[in-house]
Amino acid sequence: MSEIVRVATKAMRMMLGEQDDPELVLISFPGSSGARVSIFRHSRTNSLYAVKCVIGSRISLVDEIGRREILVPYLRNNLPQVLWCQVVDGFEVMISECRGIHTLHYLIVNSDMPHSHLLAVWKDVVESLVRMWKSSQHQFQESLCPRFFPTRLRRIKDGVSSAVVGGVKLADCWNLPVVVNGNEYSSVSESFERIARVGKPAKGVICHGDPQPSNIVVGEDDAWYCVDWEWSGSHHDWRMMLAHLYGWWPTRCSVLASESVVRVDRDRLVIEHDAFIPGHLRPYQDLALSTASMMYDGFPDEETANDINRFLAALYFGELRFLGLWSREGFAASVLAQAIITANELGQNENNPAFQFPQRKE
Amino acid sequence: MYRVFMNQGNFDFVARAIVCLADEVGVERGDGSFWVCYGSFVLDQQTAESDLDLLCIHTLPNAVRRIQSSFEGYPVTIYSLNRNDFMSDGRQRTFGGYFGGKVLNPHVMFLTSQKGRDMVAEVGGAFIGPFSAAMATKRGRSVATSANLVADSVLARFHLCPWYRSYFLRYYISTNFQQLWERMAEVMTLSFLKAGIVAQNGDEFRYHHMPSEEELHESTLAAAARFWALGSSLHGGMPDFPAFYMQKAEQYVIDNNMEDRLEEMIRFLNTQSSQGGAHGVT
Repeated sequence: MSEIVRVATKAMRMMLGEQDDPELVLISFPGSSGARVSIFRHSRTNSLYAVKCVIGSRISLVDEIGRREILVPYLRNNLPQVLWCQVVDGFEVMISECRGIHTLHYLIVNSDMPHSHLLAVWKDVVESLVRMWKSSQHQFQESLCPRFFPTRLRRIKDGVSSAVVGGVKLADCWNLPVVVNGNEYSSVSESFERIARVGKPAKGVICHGDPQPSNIVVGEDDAWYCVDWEWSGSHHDWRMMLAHLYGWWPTRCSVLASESVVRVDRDRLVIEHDAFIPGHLRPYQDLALSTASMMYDGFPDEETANDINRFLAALYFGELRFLGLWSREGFAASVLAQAIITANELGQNENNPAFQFPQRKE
Repeated sequence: MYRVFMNQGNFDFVARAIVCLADEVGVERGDGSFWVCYGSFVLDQQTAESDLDLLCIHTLPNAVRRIQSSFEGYPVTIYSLNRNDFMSDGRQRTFGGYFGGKVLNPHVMFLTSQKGRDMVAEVGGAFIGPFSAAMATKRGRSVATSANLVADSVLARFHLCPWYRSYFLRYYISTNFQQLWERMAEVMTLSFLKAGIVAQNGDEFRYHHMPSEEELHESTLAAAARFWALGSSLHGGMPDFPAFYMQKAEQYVIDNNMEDRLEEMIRFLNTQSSQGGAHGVT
């Protein structure tokens, strides 16, 4: 951490060409790539700067800046300007303008801003994304998708197989049936096979690639800015993007009603958990849900909802790798349970709202 | 040119990729366009984090573009440029050899005709030729072997862009560098002959034109200015692109504790440029 601050401060001095220390205002939680963003305030002008430092990143910051260009025609007013990008003491460092200190995620969870304001911001974000998807539709080519699902699923699988949840090493019970709160489901192994059956969409879309409230910075007058462009690209599967918009809430905002239990019992992986999404956050998730009908001009058919649930299940499994970064290790059993249930039920169980993407009601 | 160094898996991967990526550039099979793959995939040096580097040369009336895409989970960087622009980056060094330099690296061409292959060879040779001749002049050498020629060309690239050293170092430390060096000597010689940079007499070569100090100075500055201007422009107008490129190159050497190997490589190149006759690694 102190190394990141030292490098970020050095970069700020290099860019400003001044000896006075810029004031460090905030350091973000790390993203899944390990990148950290420090927010600085200039002592004389009060201008804010976001300093992103990465080392050994899969996507170089130079390439991330290139990927930002893909979004410009659609989100011109919602993308911060990049001001500076260099290598400092082994770190790639990018400094961009910063029009707000906090992310939408932070403000929703921590601030005293009324939810009516924040919901309006989230609604605008969601609608802007759907406009981008609709106006950029073209024939989908899976192999060109920046988040190429077969590779992504393989990485997730590798991560899950090395995970330990509630003291149980998942690799050791990979093929055991899973019992969640008394209901039996297929094994982790079979759940991955079910996820892999995801179908192909008719159209591909341009998208940010990781659209979620932690990547939205809120500025003055409810203006918002989209950051972290490393997965941006032209051939996204909108159903995967929708799964991220929807599934982010369970992974990052659910709360535990009681402590979870994970054990192996009579050749079963047994999980007992009780997690829920607080009621005041449900309207945000409902807005994410509405993107499906905006894209589909009506509620999606069963197979589309099934595929969204397959992407959701992959997201839940994938997030197991990052819970530690967000100090949410205690949610691992719950996230694992939801991954298993979602992969098996594909939204057919109406008693599990908010964690699965619902199926159309006849 | 370097097909023998690329394993079949990578070759098939790139062949599949260019079929899918053709739409990104707007080219079609049979329209005179062709592709050049360079970078880590050619020498099987890629990792899970590597980019696939491609150059698409076409006949479309489009300005030079850098396109970022993906293929089967790998990030892809495509430079798309018109055939005439590519040609002019050889002799005229319109872009400071930004593309002429890329085809001096080990590369494999796809969907190309003999005419396309000749063009690639000529552009590379025409771009670096005068600078290579200047390297020979500095050594007071009037005739050259193939090994001299390729060493001249690499040193000439260091002259234009000292940070290229860290990229060449990746080749130098590869286990099959001896074979690679021999192939580079053959390819470079062919390029110089195609571009009319050297005249051949048996196993010996003679540069047609040895630039004066003043010529070298001016053409070096012009090439460097054009190279970095294009680089910044193609990287989203990043004014910091040159600094980023330079620092990244230096960092590679530091991170991998390669300072000694870098010095050894430069000694090797100087030896290869100075001594006649030796084609292999000494």
